[in-house]
Amino acid sequence: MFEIVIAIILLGLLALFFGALLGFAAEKFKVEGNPVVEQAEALLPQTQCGQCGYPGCRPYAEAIANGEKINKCPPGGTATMEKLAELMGVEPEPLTATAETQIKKVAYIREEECIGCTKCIQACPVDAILGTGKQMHTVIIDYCTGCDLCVEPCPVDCIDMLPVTPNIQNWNWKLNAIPVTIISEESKC
Amino acid sequence: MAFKLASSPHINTSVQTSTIMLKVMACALPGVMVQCYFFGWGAIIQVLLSIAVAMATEAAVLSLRKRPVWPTLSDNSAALTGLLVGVAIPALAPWWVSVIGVVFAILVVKHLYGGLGNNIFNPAMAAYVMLLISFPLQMTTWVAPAGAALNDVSLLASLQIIFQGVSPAEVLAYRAGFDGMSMATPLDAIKTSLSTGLTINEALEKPTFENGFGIGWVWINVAYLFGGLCMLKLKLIRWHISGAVIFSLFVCASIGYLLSPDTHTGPLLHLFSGATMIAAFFIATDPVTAATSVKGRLLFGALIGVLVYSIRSFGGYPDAFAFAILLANLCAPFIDYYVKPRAYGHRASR
Amino acid sequence: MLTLFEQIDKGTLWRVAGGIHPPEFKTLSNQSNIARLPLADQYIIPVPQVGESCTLAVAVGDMVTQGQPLTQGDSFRHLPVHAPVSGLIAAIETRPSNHASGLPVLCCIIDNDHQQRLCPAMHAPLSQDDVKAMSSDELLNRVKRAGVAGLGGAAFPTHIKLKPVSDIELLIINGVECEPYITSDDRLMREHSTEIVRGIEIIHQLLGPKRIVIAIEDNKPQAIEQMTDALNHSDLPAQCARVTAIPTVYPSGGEKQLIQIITGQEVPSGAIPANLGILVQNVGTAFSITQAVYCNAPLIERVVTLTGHNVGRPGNYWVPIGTPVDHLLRCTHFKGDSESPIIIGGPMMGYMLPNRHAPLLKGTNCILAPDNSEMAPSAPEMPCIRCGECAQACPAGLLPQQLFWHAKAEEYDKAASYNLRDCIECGCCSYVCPSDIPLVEYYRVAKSALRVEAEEKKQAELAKQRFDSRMLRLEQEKRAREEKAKQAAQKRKAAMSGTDKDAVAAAMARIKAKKAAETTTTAAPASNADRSATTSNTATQDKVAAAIARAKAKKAAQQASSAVPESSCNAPEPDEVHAPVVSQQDKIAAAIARAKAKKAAQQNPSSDEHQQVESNDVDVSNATSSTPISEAEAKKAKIAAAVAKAKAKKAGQQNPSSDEHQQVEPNDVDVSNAASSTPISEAEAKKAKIAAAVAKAKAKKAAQQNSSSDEHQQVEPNDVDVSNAASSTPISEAETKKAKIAAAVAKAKAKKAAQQAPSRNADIAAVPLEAPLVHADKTSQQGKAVDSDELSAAEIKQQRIAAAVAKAKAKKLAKAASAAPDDELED
Repeated sequence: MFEIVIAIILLGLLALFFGALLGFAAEKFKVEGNPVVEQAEALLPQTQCGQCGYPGCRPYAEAIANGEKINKCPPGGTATMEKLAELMGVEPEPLTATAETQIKKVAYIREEECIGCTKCIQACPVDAILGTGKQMHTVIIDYCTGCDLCVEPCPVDCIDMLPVTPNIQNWNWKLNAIPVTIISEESKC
Repeated sequence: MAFKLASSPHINTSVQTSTIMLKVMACALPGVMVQCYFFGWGAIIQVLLSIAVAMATEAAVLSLRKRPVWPTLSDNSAALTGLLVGVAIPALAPWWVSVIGVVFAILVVKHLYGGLGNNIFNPAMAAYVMLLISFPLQMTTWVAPAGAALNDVSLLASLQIIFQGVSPAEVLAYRAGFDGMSMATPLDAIKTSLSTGLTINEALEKPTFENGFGIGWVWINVAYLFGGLCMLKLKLIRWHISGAVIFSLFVCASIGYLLSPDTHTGPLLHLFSGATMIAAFFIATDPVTAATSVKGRLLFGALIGVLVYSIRSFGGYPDAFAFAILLANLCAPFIDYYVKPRAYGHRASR
Repeated sequence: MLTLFEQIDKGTLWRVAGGIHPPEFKTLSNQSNIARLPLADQYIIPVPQVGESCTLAVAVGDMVTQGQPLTQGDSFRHLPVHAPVSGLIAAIETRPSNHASGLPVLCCIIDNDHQQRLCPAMHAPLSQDDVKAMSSDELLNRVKRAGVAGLGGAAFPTHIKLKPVSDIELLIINGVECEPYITSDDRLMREHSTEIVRGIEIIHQLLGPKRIVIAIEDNKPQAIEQMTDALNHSDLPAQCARVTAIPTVYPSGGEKQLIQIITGQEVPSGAIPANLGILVQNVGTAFSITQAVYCNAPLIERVVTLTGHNVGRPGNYWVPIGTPVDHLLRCTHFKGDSESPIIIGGPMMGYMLPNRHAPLLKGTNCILAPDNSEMAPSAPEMPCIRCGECAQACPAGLLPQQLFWHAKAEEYDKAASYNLRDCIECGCCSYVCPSDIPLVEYYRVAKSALRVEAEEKKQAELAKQRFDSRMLRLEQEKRAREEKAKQAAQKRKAAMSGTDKDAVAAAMARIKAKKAAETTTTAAPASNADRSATTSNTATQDKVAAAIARAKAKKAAQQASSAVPESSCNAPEPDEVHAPVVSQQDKIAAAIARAKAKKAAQQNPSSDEHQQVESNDVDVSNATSSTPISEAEAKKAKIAAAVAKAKAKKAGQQNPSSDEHQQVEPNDVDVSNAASSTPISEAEAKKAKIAAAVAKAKAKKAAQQNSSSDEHQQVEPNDVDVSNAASSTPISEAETKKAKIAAAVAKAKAKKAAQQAPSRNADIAAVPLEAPLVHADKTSQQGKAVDSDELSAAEIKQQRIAAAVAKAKAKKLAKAASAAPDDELED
């Protein structure tokens, strides 16, 4: 009987000791983890397009952290969705958008038709449209995120979303996609 | 033919997977012959049976997986697996042992992991281990290696034994009728002797041995060593894995022998008995399941050597290559992950 | 322990990891001297894409001389291109590029006139002393002007390499040429060793390296001999330069590998050799430097190896840069068909050319046309058996099969962790692969994917930054606006306490109503003018001018609308001066002038009541009267006239609000003028009429709005005008209808406007600027619709529908406007 009591006391003390140790360690070596919102936001493409139904990428990241679906970001594409799924520990879901909307596009203003109403400038979330009232506007292609938000407000419908054409610098080395030109022998150079 | 753009380089060595496999099999031939010489027709029957079953299984699995059958079958990797299973099975084991082993090797170990190139474990060794655990009696009943003169079991008799389902006991009886003894493998004999309190030297007095080596087994190992050297010469394999296996086994055995010559087998006996040479040159070097970098391969080989020695000396099984190789297979991805060669322009600081 | 230089002097070589020994096939092309081929009729010179400040120095139709620069740029990185032959710039357009992708790039197309007129800047070779006397800047300038680029393949601008950030201690001249088939450097070294050494002397003069090593593979004994001989006769200090034969192994000619072989050092990942004090130059580049410095000759031709069993006359040739590849193939009796592969570069690193019209570039050292026996079409890919041969062959010490696994699984970040970035794409791994896996292709795809990913990341960061700063700005603006609104309110309160409070309020209400009217009127004619400008087939200049005029007019109108309430103008009086205006420009000028004048007039906020705006009207009538000169131009003028009139009317209608006895008729006279001046061309008459109708409609609207605030306003004259417009149209029956419809639309709008106006009380009525703006937009759209549909009589229906739609919209907007809050005015 006495031995049992001793054993219980001993075990109890041990448990107390290790519990205290663990608690101390948890406090001492606390990892200030990157909050999930920050991480989710870092994964989002920052187009601020609002296609997810939130006014910008940050609000959507916050919504994701609160359990919003992860498949609402068409500009990010499947890659972003998968990363979000991994981050949130949920199953990847097919995107809400079709494949067609995932092609990277930039806005282009048909400048001769622009009436200089500045509406697109007000709509652009990243200030990628240059122009002033009554003056022709143009898009700074490098800054355009292809968010589509300027198309709707344009009163004269002079904004097109044009797919980004591949150039030699950003070509993706998909050899099979190259159209091969077969040249007849008699053709003149 | 439509003109298709190809990526550089536009030239390639003429070395193909299929030729490599074929050459490896050719290099294994001397060993198989010697095995046949000592163990009778049974050995060669097992090998041919295994190869046939392996090819058939491969074809069946490929068609089940809806993959092109011929291109993959013609890479000869299935045939090589069959051959290796075949030589590992005792010569007069019943046919279903080989069949089960080979089907397991191809179907489970190879294709369930994704086919050639994706398997973690060496199919032949995994199959061998499975058989050894499932059918210990059949898998350990090795007939006594006989000389050419004593090659007693005729082709017909061997076929009969293998295919008519004669039980091992009957085989033993059958064998006994001929030469009056069945025989353990040398390593088995030593293990048994040591467990009965004999010293190594006393064990070596047993009829299994001759001049300190196991009868027949030493020649089989020599033949495989020769085949292995041929492969090195033909640049079918690199020396790193085989060298490391042999070296580490030799070192371990030497240390053990020097420390306690009475209870530990000598290094040469280790090298020339059991599956040492065939495993070192033909099985451990299986590129799919081995480490890939030079350093990694050295480590991989050394690991096998150490494991083999440990299991042989301290474990329950007389020969240990199958286990050692499977364990090393498990470690290969780790080895590859941690032993990366230093890339050009990167400091060796790690 | 020997120092590095002592080791180099001893000729010590270091072992390099990996490498392969592919069959060489060099004798195919290195047996004969470098020859010349007949010139092509057309040359294609891609315009360099690097350097932001690079501009074309020629235009289509220019005649150029051989060696004349085609581009100019003031940035240091700019690398000019030159005309390889004399001739005519036939076109400047996109053409398929000499690149693995074959994507089109901007090129100058030069038609060869076969006269070989040399650029005057080129001169006879200078003496060595002259060159020695040159300053470093002069040398660099000559190299830069000549457009010398690395001829080994990468075509990096040489003048940048020759101005390194750190001191160069070791210069390596790369004559290794380790790729199979290629012999251009070999032949160049054999035949032009003196010039190459001259080039080395120039680099020595520029950089003063302590040692110079000319590295040549030991399979080129003649080249080694020639170079040694030339070096012995050079002016380079003794013991400084040496020729080192290095063992033949691919890819020892790679810059990093060569440095490792010669010095035993490795270029750190992500760094350049200059960081180690090492500079590597190709022998061909050294030759070009000589040409550039001694003769001021630009880099317009290079040695190209044309080889392979499909080439009838394999060998090395001097080929002008920009020669189409198919011309070269024809000249060397190409034996293949249209499906035979053409490889630019060697078999290990070259790429297949998707389009044979592509031009030869500065970096093109070999055109390889193999037959099927040499290079079989690539075998199907087999599964990787992890044999590790690739890792043994990799000169960069990578684990190609690991990279392959990750690249194939598209786990690009994992591939990157295996140092994918350090892959030099030499092709050794693919070469040794027994499973025929196109490893390099996987790596290239993975690399480009990583590049895109990095790019996107950068883009995302930039977007976020811009989004945040925009948010900040909007926040600040909002605060500032609130501040201002508060102040304005206080001021107003103060003003209200004055004696004639009511009068001021009334005036303000009227002004606001006017403003609303103006915005509606201006936008519509403007877009009218715009539409007709775009649809007309006259020169673009006219369009631009019209657009400018329109923009100015609009500006003026809106400025007027934001002007101080006291603004009032006199009634513009019709003063027709029939000045014969001959040229379009005059008209446009007139339009601009008019627009400006109007602006000025309307800007005059506190002007007295007798302000004369006639000049505007003179202009308008000018424009009107000048229309008969050219039919095609008549349209524009008319439209301009319409616009002008509309504005004039606006101005006129503004007045009644402050001047009760205002007559609007004169404007209408103008409008009828416009209408009557239209019959010159039937087709154009329509547009003018419509414009007139729209303008009138707006005028009416405005007038009716005014009437709500001003009881003595006369609206009838407007109606007369409308009938005017209607009566002036009898030229074509089909068009009459349209005009009527337009008139109807206009009337409908006017009515709407009229209804709108009374429904507002003094405060709200005219306040929201935004609503009328929207209204204006919609109206302009409608105007456009009416206009563009005009040309086909069958579309009248559509017009009606459009009119109906427009009306509906207008109504909606009117409601919205009346409900819009007060403070929108701030916008």
